[in-house]
Amino acid sequence: MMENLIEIVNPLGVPRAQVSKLAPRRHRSLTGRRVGLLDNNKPNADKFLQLIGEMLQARYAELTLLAKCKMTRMESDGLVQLAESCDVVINAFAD
Amino acid sequence: MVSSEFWTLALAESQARGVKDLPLIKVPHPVGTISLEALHAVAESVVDAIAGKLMRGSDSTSAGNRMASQQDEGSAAASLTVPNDPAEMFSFFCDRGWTDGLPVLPPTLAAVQKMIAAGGNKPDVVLGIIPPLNGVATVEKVAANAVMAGCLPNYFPLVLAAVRAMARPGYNLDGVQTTTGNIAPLAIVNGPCRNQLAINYGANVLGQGWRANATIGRAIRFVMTNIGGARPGSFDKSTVGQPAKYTFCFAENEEASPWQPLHVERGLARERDTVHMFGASGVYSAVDMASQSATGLLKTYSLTMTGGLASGVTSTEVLWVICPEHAAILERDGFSKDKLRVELFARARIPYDNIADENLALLAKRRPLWFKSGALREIGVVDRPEDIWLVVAGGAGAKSAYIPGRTGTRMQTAAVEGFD
Repeated sequence: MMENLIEIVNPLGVPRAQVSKLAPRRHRSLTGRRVGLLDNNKPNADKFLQLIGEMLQARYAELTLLAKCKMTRMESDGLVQLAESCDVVINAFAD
Repeated sequence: MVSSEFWTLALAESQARGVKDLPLIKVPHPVGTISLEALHAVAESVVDAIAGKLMRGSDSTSAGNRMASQQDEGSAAASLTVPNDPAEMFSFFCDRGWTDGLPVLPPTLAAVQKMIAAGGNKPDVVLGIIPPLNGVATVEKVAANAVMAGCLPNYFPLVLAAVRAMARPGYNLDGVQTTTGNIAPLAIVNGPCRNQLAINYGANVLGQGWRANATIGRAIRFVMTNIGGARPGSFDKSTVGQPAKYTFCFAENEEASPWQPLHVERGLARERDTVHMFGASGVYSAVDMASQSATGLLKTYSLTMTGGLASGVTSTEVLWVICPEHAAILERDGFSKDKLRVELFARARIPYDNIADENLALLAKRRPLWFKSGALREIGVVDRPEDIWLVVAGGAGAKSAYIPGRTGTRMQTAAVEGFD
Protein backbone atom coordinates (compact mmCIF):
# COMPACT_ATOMS: atom_id res chain seq x y z
CA MET A 1 0.00 0.00 0.00
CA MET A 2 1.15 3.51 -0.71
CA GLU A 3 2.61 5.33 2.23
CA ASN A 4 0.08 8.14 2.12
CA LEU A 5 -2.98 5.87 2.25
CA ILE A 6 -4.29 3.63 4.99
CA GLU A 7 -6.87 0.87 4.91
CA ILE A 8 -10.06 1.21 6.95
CA VAL A 9 -13.17 -0.87 7.56
CA ASN A 10 -16.06 0.55 5.54
CA PRO A 11 -18.41 2.09 8.14
CA LEU A 12 -21.44 2.11 5.83
CA GLY A 13 -24.21 -0.42 6.33
CA VAL A 14 -25.03 -2.99 3.69
CA PRO A 15 -28.80 -2.96 3.14
CA ARG A 16 -30.59 -6.18 4.00
CA ALA A 17 -31.56 -7.97 0.82
CA GLN A 18 -35.33 -8.08 0.75
CA VAL A 19 -37.84 -8.58 -2.02
CA SER A 20 -41.53 -8.38 -1.21
CA LYS A 21 -44.45 -8.84 -3.54
CA LEU A 22 -46.91 -6.03 -4.08
CA ALA A 23 -50.57 -6.84 -3.59
CA PRO A 24 -52.07 -7.57 -7.01
CA ARG A 25 -54.44 -4.97 -8.39
CA ARG A 26 -57.31 -7.16 -9.45
CA HIS A 27 -59.90 -4.64 -10.57
CA ARG A 28 -60.23 -2.96 -13.95
CA SER A 29 -62.57 -0.34 -12.53
CA LEU A 30 -63.21 1.15 -9.10
CA THR A 31 -66.98 0.93 -9.58
CA GLY A 32 -68.52 -0.80 -6.55
CA ARG A 33 -65.14 -1.17 -4.84
CA ARG A 34 -64.30 -0.57 -1.19
CA VAL A 35 -61.52 2.01 -0.91
CA GLY A 36 -59.53 2.22 2.34
CA LEU A 37 -58.14 5.60 3.40
CA LEU A 38 -55.11 5.16 5.65
CA ASP A 39 -54.15 8.41 7.29
CA ASN A 40 -50.80 9.01 9.01
CA ASN A 41 -52.42 11.23 11.63
CA LYS A 42 -50.71 14.39 10.45
CA PRO A 43 -52.71 17.62 10.15
CA ASN A 44 -54.92 17.70 7.03
CA ALA A 45 -54.10 14.09 6.10
CA ASP A 46 -57.63 12.93 6.96
CA LYS A 47 -59.25 15.85 5.13
CA PHE A 48 -57.08 15.31 2.07
CA LEU A 49 -57.86 11.60 1.91
CA GLN A 50 -61.56 12.31 2.40
CA LEU A 51 -61.49 14.77 -0.52
CA ILE A 52 -59.76 12.19 -2.71
CA GLY A 53 -62.33 9.61 -1.64
CA GLU A 54 -65.26 11.89 -2.46
CA MET A 55 -63.78 12.74 -5.85
CA LEU A 56 -63.43 9.02 -6.59
CA GLN A 57 -67.05 8.51 -5.56
CA ALA A 58 -68.07 11.18 -8.06
CA ARG A 59 -66.23 9.28 -10.77
CA TYR A 60 -67.16 5.66 -9.91
CA ALA A 61 -70.63 4.47 -8.92
CA GLU A 62 -71.22 2.66 -5.62
CA LEU A 63 -67.68 3.18 -4.42
CA THR A 64 -67.51 2.97 -0.62
CA LEU A 65 -64.90 4.52 1.67
CA LEU A 66 -63.37 3.14 4.86
CA ALA A 67 -61.19 5.59 6.77
CA LYS A 68 -58.64 4.60 9.36
CA CYS A 69 -56.06 6.73 11.08
CA LYS A 70 -52.76 5.07 11.73
CA MET A 71 -50.80 5.99 14.82
CA THR A 72 -47.68 3.87 14.66
CA ARG A 73 -46.52 0.43 13.82
CA MET A 74 -47.18 -0.52 17.43
CA GLU A 75 -50.87 -0.54 16.58
CA SER A 76 -50.49 -2.44 13.37
CA ASP A 77 -53.27 -4.90 14.18
CA GLY A 78 -55.81 -2.55 12.70
CA LEU A 79 -53.97 -2.65 9.39
CA VAL A 80 -54.82 -6.33 8.93
CA GLN A 81 -58.51 -5.62 9.47
CA LEU A 82 -58.32 -2.75 7.00
CA ALA A 83 -56.64 -4.96 4.40
CA GLU A 84 -59.36 -7.58 4.84
CA SER A 85 -62.23 -5.17 4.45
CA CYS A 86 -60.95 -3.17 1.44
CA ASP A 87 -60.31 -3.85 -2.21
CA VAL A 88 -57.69 -1.10 -2.48
CA VAL A 89 -56.06 1.28 0.01
CA ILE A 90 -54.70 4.81 -0.33
CA ASN A 91 -52.04 5.71 2.25
CA ALA A 92 -50.89 9.21 3.19
CA PHE A 93 -47.20 9.54 4.00
CA ALA A 94 -45.27 12.54 5.36
CA ASP A 95 -46.30 16.07 6.39
CA MET B 1 -49.43 9.67 -1.62
CA VAL B 2 -46.23 11.36 -0.62
CA SER B 3 -45.48 15.04 -0.20
CA SER B 4 -42.61 16.24 -2.36
CA GLU B 5 -40.21 16.81 0.55
CA PHE B 6 -40.45 13.09 1.37
CA TRP B 7 -40.29 11.76 -2.18
CA THR B 8 -36.68 10.52 -2.20
CA LEU B 9 -37.18 9.02 1.26
CA ALA B 10 -40.29 7.17 0.05
CA LEU B 11 -38.38 5.82 -2.96
CA ALA B 12 -35.48 4.69 -0.78
CA GLU B 13 -37.76 3.08 1.80
CA SER B 14 -39.82 1.23 -0.78
CA GLN B 15 -36.58 -0.07 -2.28
CA ALA B 16 -35.20 -1.05 1.15
CA ARG B 17 -38.40 -2.98 1.87
CA GLY B 18 -38.17 -4.85 -1.39
CA VAL B 19 -41.15 -3.17 -3.08
CA LYS B 20 -39.44 -0.76 -5.42
CA ASP B 21 -42.48 -0.71 -7.70
CA LEU B 22 -44.80 0.49 -4.94
CA PRO B 23 -47.28 2.82 -6.67
CA LEU B 24 -46.55 6.31 -5.40
CA ILE B 25 -48.12 9.69 -6.19
CA LYS B 26 -46.31 12.92 -5.42
CA VAL B 27 -48.18 15.93 -4.01
CA PRO B 28 -46.60 19.33 -3.30
CA HIS B 29 -45.21 19.91 0.20
CA PRO B 30 -46.60 21.10 2.61
CA VAL B 31 -50.00 19.48 3.07
CA GLY B 32 -50.49 19.97 6.79
CA THR B 33 -50.66 23.75 6.88
CA ILE B 34 -52.61 24.65 3.73
CA SER B 35 -56.26 25.76 3.52
CA LEU B 36 -59.13 23.46 2.63
CA GLU B 37 -59.46 25.28 -0.69
CA ALA B 38 -55.82 24.68 -1.55
CA LEU B 39 -56.17 21.07 -0.42
CA HIS B 40 -59.10 20.69 -2.81
CA ALA B 41 -57.05 21.94 -5.74
CA VAL B 42 -54.22 19.52 -4.94
CA ALA B 43 -56.68 16.63 -4.65
CA GLU B 44 -58.24 17.49 -8.03
CA SER B 45 -54.82 17.47 -9.64
CA VAL B 46 -53.94 13.95 -8.49
CA VAL B 47 -57.22 12.06 -8.15
CA ASP B 48 -57.20 10.54 -11.63
CA ALA B 49 -53.60 9.47 -11.30
CA ILE B 50 -54.47 7.80 -8.00
CA ALA B 51 -57.43 5.99 -9.54
CA GLY B 52 -55.11 4.79 -12.32
CA LYS B 53 -52.62 3.39 -9.84
CA LEU B 54 -55.35 1.49 -8.00
CA MET B 55 -56.63 -0.40 -11.03
CA ARG B 56 -55.42 -3.45 -12.89
CA GLY B 57 -53.31 -2.79 -15.94
CA SER B 58 -52.03 0.45 -14.49
CA ASP B 59 -48.47 1.55 -14.92
CA SER B 60 -47.33 -0.48 -11.95
CA THR B 61 -43.68 -0.46 -12.79
CA SER B 62 -43.45 3.27 -12.06
CA ALA B 63 -40.11 3.80 -13.72
CA GLY B 64 -39.63 6.84 -11.55
CA ASN B 65 -39.55 4.65 -8.49
CA ARG B 66 -36.26 3.15 -9.44
CA MET B 67 -33.32 4.94 -7.97
CA ALA B 68 -29.84 4.11 -6.91
CA SER B 69 -29.65 3.61 -3.19
CA GLN B 70 -27.77 6.29 -1.33
CA GLN B 71 -25.69 3.49 0.13
CA ASP B 72 -24.73 2.01 -3.22
CA GLU B 73 -21.53 3.92 -3.62
CA GLY B 74 -18.90 1.73 -2.05
CA SER B 75 -21.22 0.24 0.54
CA ALA B 76 -20.49 -3.30 -0.61
CA ALA B 77 -16.73 -2.97 -0.20
CA ALA B 78 -15.58 -4.40 3.12
CA SER B 79 -12.62 -2.05 3.31
CA LEU B 80 -11.43 1.18 1.70
CA THR B 81 -8.26 3.19 1.50
CA VAL B 82 -8.27 6.73 2.82
CA PRO B 83 -5.61 9.47 3.09
CA ASN B 84 -3.23 8.99 6.00
CA ASP B 85 -2.85 12.72 6.57
CA PRO B 86 -5.25 13.65 9.43
CA ALA B 87 -6.66 16.78 7.78
CA GLU B 88 -7.11 15.08 4.42
CA MET B 89 -8.67 12.05 6.09
CA PHE B 90 -11.12 14.28 7.95
CA SER B 91 -12.11 15.95 4.68
CA PHE B 92 -12.54 12.51 3.07
CA PHE B 93 -15.05 11.53 5.77
CA CYS B 94 -16.82 14.91 5.77
CA ASP B 95 -17.20 14.98 1.99
CA ARG B 96 -19.08 11.67 2.14
CA GLY B 97 -21.33 12.66 5.01
CA TRP B 98 -19.85 9.97 7.26
CA THR B 99 -19.28 12.21 10.29
CA ASP B 100 -21.30 14.63 12.40
CA GLY B 101 -19.05 17.46 11.21
CA LEU B 102 -16.43 16.89 13.90
CA PRO B 103 -13.14 15.00 13.43
CA VAL B 104 -13.13 11.21 13.68
CA LEU B 105 -10.52 8.52 14.22
CA PRO B 106 -9.85 6.16 11.30
CA PRO B 107 -11.48 2.74 11.70
CA THR B 108 -8.29 0.90 10.77
CA LEU B 109 -8.45 -2.87 10.59
CA ALA B 110 -6.39 -3.14 13.79
CA ALA B 111 -8.53 -0.64 15.74
CA VAL B 112 -11.76 -2.32 14.63
CA GLN B 113 -10.35 -5.75 15.57
CA LYS B 114 -9.57 -4.48 19.07
CA MET B 115 -13.07 -3.06 19.41
CA ILE B 116 -14.67 -6.33 18.23
CA ALA B 117 -12.55 -8.36 20.65
CA ALA B 118 -13.72 -6.19 23.57
CA GLY B 119 -17.36 -6.82 22.64
CA GLY B 120 -17.06 -10.58 23.01
CA ASN B 121 -19.04 -11.29 19.83
CA LYS B 122 -18.05 -12.48 16.37
CA PRO B 123 -17.82 -9.72 13.74
CA ASP B 124 -20.73 -11.03 11.66
CA VAL B 125 -23.25 -11.25 14.51
CA VAL B 126 -26.28 -9.12 13.58
CA LEU B 127 -27.57 -6.75 16.28
CA GLY B 128 -30.48 -5.37 14.32
CA ILE B 129 -31.64 -3.75 11.10
CA ILE B 130 -31.28 0.02 10.98
CA PRO B 131 -33.86 1.99 8.95
CA PRO B 132 -34.53 3.84 6.73
CA LEU B 133 -32.19 1.97 4.35
CA ASN B 134 -32.40 -1.21 6.45
CA GLY B 135 -28.64 -1.48 6.89
CA VAL B 136 -27.51 -4.60 8.69
CA ALA B 137 -25.89 -3.64 12.00
CA THR B 138 -23.21 -6.30 12.32
CA VAL B 139 -20.75 -6.20 15.20
CA GLU B 140 -18.01 -5.26 12.73
CA LYS B 141 -19.91 -2.31 11.23
CA VAL B 142 -20.88 -1.03 14.67
CA ALA B 143 -17.24 -1.42 15.77
CA ALA B 144 -16.02 0.67 12.82
CA ASN B 145 -18.42 3.45 13.81
CA ALA B 146 -17.44 3.19 17.48
CA VAL B 147 -13.78 3.62 16.54
CA MET B 148 -14.65 6.66 14.44
CA ALA B 149 -16.59 8.13 17.37
CA GLY B 150 -13.57 7.81 19.66
CA CYS B 151 -14.79 4.98 21.91
CA LEU B 152 -12.31 3.01 23.99
CA PRO B 153 -12.68 -0.73 23.33
CA ASN B 154 -14.07 -1.36 26.81
CA TYR B 155 -17.04 0.92 26.04
CA PHE B 156 -18.01 -1.34 23.16
CA PRO B 157 -20.30 -3.77 25.04
CA LEU B 158 -22.44 -0.74 25.98
CA VAL B 159 -22.65 0.42 22.37
CA LEU B 160 -23.73 -3.08 21.32
CA ALA B 161 -26.46 -3.11 23.99
CA ALA B 162 -27.64 0.33 22.88
CA VAL B 163 -27.92 -0.77 19.24
CA ARG B 164 -29.83 -3.91 20.23
CA ALA B 165 -32.23 -1.83 22.30
CA MET B 166 -32.87 0.82 19.68
CA ALA B 167 -33.49 -1.72 16.92
CA ARG B 168 -36.49 -3.17 18.80
CA PRO B 169 -39.94 -2.38 17.35
CA GLY B 170 -41.05 -0.48 20.48
CA TYR B 171 -38.39 2.18 19.88
CA ASN B 172 -39.89 2.90 16.46
CA LEU B 173 -36.50 3.64 14.95
CA ASP B 174 -38.08 4.28 11.52
CA GLY B 175 -39.86 7.24 13.01
CA VAL B 176 -36.91 8.42 15.08
CA GLN B 177 -34.66 8.35 12.00
CA THR B 178 -36.89 10.16 9.52
CA THR B 179 -39.20 12.42 11.52
CA THR B 180 -39.41 16.18 11.12
CA GLY B 181 -39.28 16.27 14.93
CA ASN B 182 -36.10 16.94 16.85
CA ILE B 183 -35.80 13.56 18.55
CA ALA B 184 -32.35 12.45 19.72
CA PRO B 185 -31.38 8.97 20.89
CA LEU B 186 -30.54 9.11 24.60
CA ALA B 187 -28.58 6.28 26.26
CA ILE B 188 -28.94 6.00 30.04
CA VAL B 189 -26.47 3.71 31.81
CA ASN B 190 -26.94 1.79 35.07
CA GLY B 191 -24.73 -0.66 36.94
CA PRO B 192 -21.13 -1.00 38.13
CA CYS B 193 -19.70 -0.17 34.68
CA ARG B 194 -20.53 3.49 35.37
CA ASN B 195 -17.61 3.67 37.78
CA GLN B 196 -15.33 1.25 35.93
CA LEU B 197 -15.64 3.21 32.66
CA ALA B 198 -15.90 6.68 34.24
CA ILE B 199 -19.32 7.43 32.77
CA ASN B 200 -20.42 10.71 34.28
CA TYR B 201 -23.42 10.73 36.60
CA GLY B 202 -22.41 13.73 38.73
CA ALA B 203 -21.81 17.39 38.02
CA ASN B 204 -22.67 18.54 34.47
CA VAL B 205 -24.14 15.10 33.84
CA LEU B 206 -25.92 16.07 30.62
CA GLY B 207 -23.01 18.23 29.47
CA GLN B 208 -19.57 17.91 27.96
CA GLY B 209 -16.27 16.70 29.30
CA TRP B 210 -16.43 12.92 29.73
CA ARG B 211 -15.02 10.69 27.02
CA ALA B 212 -17.33 7.75 27.75
CA ASN B 213 -20.53 9.84 27.72
CA ALA B 214 -19.45 11.76 24.61
CA THR B 215 -18.21 8.88 22.48
CA ILE B 216 -20.81 6.21 23.37
CA GLY B 217 -23.59 8.61 22.40
CA ARG B 218 -21.70 9.62 19.29
CA ALA B 219 -21.16 6.00 18.23
CA ILE B 220 -24.94 5.46 18.44
CA ARG B 221 -25.45 8.49 16.18
CA PHE B 222 -22.89 7.19 13.66
CA VAL B 223 -24.65 3.81 13.56
CA MET B 224 -27.89 5.64 12.71
CA THR B 225 -26.26 7.78 10.04
CA ASN B 226 -23.81 5.37 8.44
CA ILE B 227 -25.48 1.99 8.86
CA GLY B 228 -29.08 3.22 8.70
CA GLY B 229 -28.40 5.91 6.10
CA ALA B 230 -30.28 8.72 7.89
CA ARG B 231 -28.21 11.69 6.75
CA PRO B 232 -29.53 15.07 7.79
CA GLY B 233 -31.43 16.86 5.05
CA SER B 234 -31.91 13.77 2.92
CA PHE B 235 -33.47 10.98 4.98
CA ASP B 236 -33.16 12.56 8.43
CA LYS B 237 -35.96 15.09 7.90
CA SER B 238 -35.68 16.93 11.23
CA THR B 239 -36.87 20.52 10.79
CA VAL B 240 -34.56 22.13 13.35
CA GLY B 241 -32.87 19.21 15.13
CA GLN B 242 -31.19 19.76 18.49
CA PRO B 243 -27.62 19.66 19.87
CA ALA B 244 -28.28 16.28 21.56
CA LYS B 245 -28.30 14.74 18.07
CA TYR B 246 -24.49 14.92 18.19
CA THR B 247 -24.34 12.74 21.29
CA PHE B 248 -26.50 12.07 24.34
CA CYS B 249 -25.47 9.55 26.97
CA PHE B 250 -25.33 9.74 30.76
CA ALA B 251 -25.45 7.45 33.79
CA GLU B 252 -27.76 7.42 36.77
CA ASN B 253 -26.35 8.62 40.08
CA GLU B 254 -27.31 5.44 41.90
CA GLU B 255 -25.12 6.38 44.86
CA ALA B 256 -27.07 9.58 45.50
CA SER B 257 -30.52 8.20 44.75
CA PRO B 258 -32.90 7.46 47.64
CA TRP B 259 -34.88 5.21 45.31
CA GLN B 260 -34.43 2.07 43.22
CA PRO B 261 -32.35 2.81 40.14
CA LEU B 262 -33.97 2.62 36.73
CA HIS B 263 -32.58 -0.81 35.76
CA VAL B 264 -33.87 -2.39 38.98
CA GLU B 265 -37.32 -0.93 38.26
CA ARG B 266 -37.01 -2.57 34.85
CA GLY B 267 -36.47 -5.95 36.46
CA LEU B 268 -32.67 -6.30 36.38
CA ALA B 269 -30.32 -6.98 39.27
CA ARG B 270 -28.58 -3.95 40.76
CA GLU B 271 -25.14 -5.27 39.77
CA ARG B 272 -26.20 -5.82 36.15
CA ASP B 273 -24.80 -3.31 33.68
CA THR B 274 -27.64 -1.91 31.63
CA VAL B 275 -28.33 0.56 28.83
CA HIS B 276 -31.75 2.16 28.33
CA MET B 277 -32.54 3.90 25.05
CA PHE B 278 -34.99 6.80 25.33
CA GLY B 279 -36.16 9.10 22.53
CA ALA B 280 -35.40 12.62 23.79
CA SER B 281 -36.99 15.70 22.30
CA GLY B 282 -35.07 18.33 24.21
CA VAL B 283 -33.89 19.19 27.68
CA TYR B 284 -35.98 21.58 29.78
CA SER B 285 -34.27 23.01 32.82
CA ALA B 286 -36.35 22.79 36.01
CA VAL B 287 -34.70 25.33 38.28
CA ASP B 288 -36.03 25.31 41.83
CA MET B 289 -33.55 26.63 44.38
CA ALA B 290 -36.19 27.86 46.78
CA SER B 291 -38.68 25.08 47.44
CA GLN B 292 -38.05 23.33 50.73
CA SER B 293 -40.79 20.74 50.40
CA ALA B 294 -42.18 18.22 47.95
CA THR B 295 -45.27 20.43 47.59
CA GLY B 296 -43.17 23.18 46.06
CA LEU B 297 -41.18 20.86 43.83
CA LEU B 298 -44.38 19.28 42.50
CA LYS B 299 -45.61 22.71 41.42
CA THR B 300 -42.33 23.46 39.68
CA TYR B 301 -42.15 20.10 37.98
CA SER B 302 -45.74 20.11 36.71
CA LEU B 303 -45.34 23.69 35.47
CA THR B 304 -42.25 22.58 33.54
CA MET B 305 -44.09 19.61 32.05
CA THR B 306 -46.90 21.81 30.75
CA GLY B 307 -44.66 24.62 29.52
CA GLY B 308 -45.53 24.18 25.85
CA LEU B 309 -47.23 21.93 23.35
CA ALA B 310 -44.07 19.92 22.65
CA SER B 311 -43.26 19.47 26.32
CA GLY B 312 -46.90 18.90 27.22
CA VAL B 313 -48.87 16.64 24.95
CA THR B 314 -46.83 14.95 22.23
CA SER B 315 -44.87 12.30 24.14
CA THR B 316 -45.81 8.67 24.68
CA GLU B 317 -43.33 8.67 27.59
CA VAL B 318 -41.39 11.41 29.38
CA LEU B 319 -38.28 11.41 31.57
CA TRP B 320 -37.23 13.36 34.64
CA VAL B 321 -33.56 13.72 35.54
CA ILE B 322 -33.88 14.61 39.21
CA CYS B 323 -30.89 16.18 40.93
CA PRO B 324 -29.82 14.58 44.23
CA GLU B 325 -30.86 17.62 46.33
CA HIS B 326 -34.41 17.58 44.94
CA ALA B 327 -34.53 13.77 45.34
CA ALA B 328 -33.57 14.09 49.02
CA ILE B 329 -36.43 16.57 49.66
CA LEU B 330 -38.94 14.36 47.86
CA GLU B 331 -37.84 11.25 49.76
CA ARG B 332 -37.88 13.06 53.10
CA ASP B 333 -41.48 14.13 52.43
CA GLY B 334 -42.55 10.56 51.84
CA PHE B 335 -42.42 10.35 48.07
CA SER B 336 -41.58 7.00 46.52
CA LYS B 337 -41.00 6.97 42.76
CA ASP B 338 -44.52 5.61 42.25
CA LYS B 339 -46.11 8.29 44.41
CA LEU B 340 -44.18 10.97 42.54
CA ARG B 341 -45.39 9.57 39.22
CA VAL B 342 -49.00 9.57 40.36
CA GLU B 343 -48.78 13.13 41.70
CA LEU B 344 -47.07 14.48 38.58
CA PHE B 345 -49.60 12.71 36.37
CA ALA B 346 -52.46 14.29 38.31
CA ARG B 347 -51.01 17.80 38.19
CA ALA B 348 -49.37 18.06 34.77
CA ARG B 349 -52.49 18.95 32.78
CA ILE B 350 -53.07 21.53 30.06
CA PRO B 351 -56.55 23.09 29.83
CA TYR B 352 -58.20 22.90 26.38
CA ASP B 353 -58.42 26.69 26.41
CA ASN B 354 -54.62 27.00 26.31
CA ILE B 355 -54.39 24.97 23.11
CA ALA B 356 -55.08 26.19 19.56
CA ASP B 357 -58.26 24.80 17.97
CA GLU B 358 -56.34 23.08 15.17
CA ASN B 359 -54.11 21.33 17.69
CA LEU B 360 -57.09 20.29 19.79
CA ALA B 361 -58.67 18.69 16.74
CA LEU B 362 -55.47 16.77 16.08
CA LEU B 363 -55.15 15.74 19.71
CA ALA B 364 -58.71 14.42 19.71
CA LYS B 365 -57.45 11.84 17.21
CA ARG B 366 -54.07 11.21 18.76
CA ARG B 367 -54.95 11.29 22.46
CA PRO B 368 -58.63 10.13 22.50
CA LEU B 369 -58.46 9.31 26.23
CA TRP B 370 -58.70 13.03 27.02
CA PHE B 371 -61.76 13.66 24.87
CA LYS B 372 -64.19 11.08 26.21
CA SER B 373 -67.61 12.41 27.13
CA GLY B 374 -67.61 13.81 30.64
CA ALA B 375 -63.84 14.30 30.61
CA LEU B 376 -62.48 17.42 32.27
CA ARG B 377 -61.49 19.92 29.62
CA GLU B 378 -57.77 19.25 30.00
CA ILE B 379 -55.06 17.03 28.54
CA GLY B 380 -52.50 15.10 30.56
CA VAL B 381 -48.85 15.13 29.61
CA VAL B 382 -48.97 11.33 29.22
CA ASP B 383 -51.80 8.81 29.34
CA ARG B 384 -50.67 6.92 32.46
CA PRO B 385 -48.46 7.62 35.52
CA GLU B 386 -46.16 4.76 34.52
CA ASP B 387 -45.26 6.62 31.33
CA ILE B 388 -43.23 9.04 33.46
CA TRP B 389 -39.65 7.76 33.95
CA LEU B 390 -37.57 9.05 36.86
CA VAL B 391 -33.79 8.89 37.26
CA VAL B 392 -31.51 10.63 39.72
CA ALA B 393 -28.41 12.26 38.26
CA GLY B 394 -26.27 15.36 38.56
CA GLY B 395 -24.11 17.05 41.15
CA ALA B 396 -24.64 19.71 43.80
CA GLY B 397 -27.36 22.29 43.26
CA ALA B 398 -31.13 22.38 43.03
CA LYS B 399 -31.66 22.08 39.29
CA SER B 400 -33.29 19.12 37.61
CA ALA B 401 -34.10 18.46 33.95
CA TYR B 402 -37.24 17.39 32.15
CA ILE B 403 -36.88 15.45 28.91
CA PRO B 404 -40.06 14.94 26.86
CA GLY B 405 -40.17 12.00 24.49
CA ARG B 406 -41.84 11.27 21.19
CA THR B 407 -45.18 9.97 20.00
CA GLY B 408 -44.95 6.23 19.50
CA THR B 409 -41.48 5.67 20.94
CA ARG B 410 -41.04 3.76 24.19
CA MET B 411 -37.86 3.39 26.21
CA GLN B 412 -36.04 0.11 25.54
CA THR B 413 -33.75 -1.55 28.07
CA ALA B 414 -30.93 -3.98 27.26
CA ALA B 415 -28.53 -5.71 29.65
CA VAL B 416 -24.88 -5.27 28.69
CA GLU B 417 -23.33 -8.56 27.59
CA GLY B 418 -19.68 -9.43 27.82
CA PHE B 419 -18.44 -6.62 30.03
CA ASP B 420 -16.25 -7.51 32.99
